[in-house]
Amino acid sequence: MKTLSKKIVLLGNEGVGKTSLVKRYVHSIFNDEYLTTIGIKISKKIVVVEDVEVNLMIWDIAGNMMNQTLYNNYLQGAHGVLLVADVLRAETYQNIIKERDTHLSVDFGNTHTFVLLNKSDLLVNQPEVNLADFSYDFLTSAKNGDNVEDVFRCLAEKILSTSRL
Amino acid sequence: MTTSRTHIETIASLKAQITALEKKNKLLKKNLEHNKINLKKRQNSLVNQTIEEQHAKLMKYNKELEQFTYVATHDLKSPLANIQGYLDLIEIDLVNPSPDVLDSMKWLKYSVAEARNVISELTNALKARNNKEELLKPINLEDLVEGILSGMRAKILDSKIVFICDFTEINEFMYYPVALRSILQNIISNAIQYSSTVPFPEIKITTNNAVNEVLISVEDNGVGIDLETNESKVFGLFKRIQNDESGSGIGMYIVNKLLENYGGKLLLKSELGKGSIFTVVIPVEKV
Ligand SMILES: Nc1nc2c(ncn2[C@@H]2O[C@H](COP(=O)(O)OP(=O)(O)OP(=O)(O)O)[C@@H](O)[C@H]2O)c(=O)[nH]1
Ligand SMILES: [Mg+2]
Repeated sequence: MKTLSKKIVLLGNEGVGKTSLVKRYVHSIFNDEYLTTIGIKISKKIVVVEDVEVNLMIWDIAGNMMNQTLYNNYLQGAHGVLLVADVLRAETYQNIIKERDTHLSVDFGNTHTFVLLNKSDLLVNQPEVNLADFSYDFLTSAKNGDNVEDVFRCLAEKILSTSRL
Repeated sequence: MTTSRTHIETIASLKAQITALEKKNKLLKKNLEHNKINLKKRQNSLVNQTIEEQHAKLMKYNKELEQFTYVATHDLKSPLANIQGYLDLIEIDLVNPSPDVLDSMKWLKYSVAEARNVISELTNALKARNNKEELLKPINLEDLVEGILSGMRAKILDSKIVFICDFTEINEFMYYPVALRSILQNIISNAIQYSSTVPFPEIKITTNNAVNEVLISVEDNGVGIDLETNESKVFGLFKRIQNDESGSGIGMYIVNKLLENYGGKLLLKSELGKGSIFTVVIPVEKV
């Protein structure tokens, strides 16, 4: 089987659940405690897309690096970007959208990007949150695992389909 | 007739002289041999004396280091317990604290807890010196490094250093957690110290999986070290390459001692102005 390596970067404010999404996807675990990431953590997971084995190299970038455009160097060579927001904190959504429109689409126009609203499990008692206010690709929960596999699989498929063209 | 007789006498006397000379020669040779042996004996005893002296010195240093560690850990225990106690009190008394204050409280407590952890680990390490097998345990490097970095969080944020951790090649193996923690903590603080002055400081921590060995590398893009003139200083006790900065320089000495005790070695690649790579090579059984 053919093997390819693809780089995926997670971006978003502190505490939106980037590390939790990676841990859920790679190790199938979730932790309620919050330990903010320091710098960048790289994890790996292999997905098979049709006849290709894809090594997903997943770069989890600390939320505090978003404020300083420090992460610019580390987006180099990214095939896909996951922009993550906390569904209960609208400002985290505004921030990633701003980041996407002013920065990503300018400097990294060819990179596939998904917008994720995370912590969907917390929506049950929140009637005032109106999902129609957001434009997003996936509603995820690192806690119960909803849509997490799908996000990475879809991104891998999307990356592969364009690299085949 | 007389001449031939004289000749014979001369020959006899010469023979006698030769025999006498040969005897003398033998004696001299014997003496020489004897002197040589004596000299060797004396040299040996001198060497032995030096070795003994050095051994005694080392034992003394070792004992001192052990005592120092003991006293340091012991004396740190109660002030830390006090800090923890007062933190708890402050937390109870806080009225409507801002998120920033709460955050600081959280990290203060985390750091105190970390320091107490290190102390209890050190105490354990001292106890375990003669029985290290007891400590061989599965390591999860990601968790271990996360703990170390979180303990240094304030310093890291201040210095704007970007840490990149990549343990995708190997993350779990058997080793001595207490020792490994101390080894990496020392190498990482060293890297922070030497790279905090450059414009875009970056420290990469990565692993490599070799046959029966795990390599853990800490690579910085800091000031670097001129190995030709400074290599011995890097690992020496209380020696530092730059004299201007804080720190006792005991760190790398401890790293080497720990690796000596627990098995493993430290490799160093460095270039002035480009940065350094410290690689810990440890023999392992994979988990
Ligand atoms: N209920 C719920 N909590 C979540 C979810 N994802 C993450 N969390 C919690 O949110 C907090 C922050 O999660 P992290 O994954 O550490 O956030 P992060 O985006 O990596 O944050 P930084 O590393 O600081 O940038 C933790 O307490 C998690 O347990 C989720 O899907 N549902
Ligand atoms: Mg994180």
